[in-house]
Amino acid sequence: MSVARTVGIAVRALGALALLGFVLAAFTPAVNVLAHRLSAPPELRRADAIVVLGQAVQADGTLPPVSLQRTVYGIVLFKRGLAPVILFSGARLPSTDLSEAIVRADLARELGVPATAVLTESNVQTTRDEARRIADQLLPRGARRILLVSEGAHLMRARRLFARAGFDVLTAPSDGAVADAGDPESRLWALRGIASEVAARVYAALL
Amino acid sequence: MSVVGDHLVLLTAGLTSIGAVVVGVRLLWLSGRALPAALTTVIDVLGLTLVFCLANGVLGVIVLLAERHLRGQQVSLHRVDDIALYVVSLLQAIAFQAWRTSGRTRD
Repeated sequence: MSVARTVGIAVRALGALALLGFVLAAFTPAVNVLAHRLSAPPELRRADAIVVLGQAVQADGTLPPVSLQRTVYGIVLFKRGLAPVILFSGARLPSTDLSEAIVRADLARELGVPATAVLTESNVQTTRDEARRIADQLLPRGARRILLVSEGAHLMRARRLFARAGFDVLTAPSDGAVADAGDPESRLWALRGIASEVAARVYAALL
Repeated sequence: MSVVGDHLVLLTAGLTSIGAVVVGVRLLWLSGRALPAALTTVIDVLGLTLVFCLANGVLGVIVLLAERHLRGQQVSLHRVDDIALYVVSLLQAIAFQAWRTSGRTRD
């Protein structure tokens, strides 16, 4: 069999798989089932600190929707009295003084969280960095049990990294208890999130 | 949501596809027998899109890791997860499929 023919068959098989995957993802609840399996459940109990994981900050100093959702949920948990301190994580934008953590902390103070209860960690880029740096900051203060805030799928990976860094981790998914995506567009966005998280897990396992 | 609302995309795509077949056969005098081959071409383009997506994604990660190494500072790998990458991959796939099926090979 010629190379061109073999490549042609392989490409067609991939295309058929992609089409089947698209139909299943967009028009059936398969993505919701997958999301439930890959997502950490809410474990909202009292902890020594709330840790809100970083996502991104825009160049104009505003928080993108996912970061804002995590921040606001962390503040809500603090206001419910689930921990005495809240730590915001988030990287600094290259060549600026702007960091996601500082923007979040400012927002928390504006929303009534006492300045003495707010901590930040800006020297991070990956979840692995966050686990290490935040352990350096919180464990010496005796804050071992933490309530970790991020999306449910991200928390599955983050929980392992923070537990390895010495924390007793409770998870607080900021996207709720995995809301079921009810239309094709929402399901495809959910699939994109799952694919991104799976790629991050593969990358973390390889390096 | 209503039953129609739940299946709106499938319903509209189904109706416009039937409309396209009618227009093709009745107005443009296209052969109905050529339709399966056209659908196969779509599947080939999808397969190539997947190949280009993976290639662009892996290459993107390598480039970002090289940038991290050269600049000595962290660069987020999430930059690879850009929706434009999927569109570019689709365009690459369409161009490659057109080339593949042009029937011209080097002598």
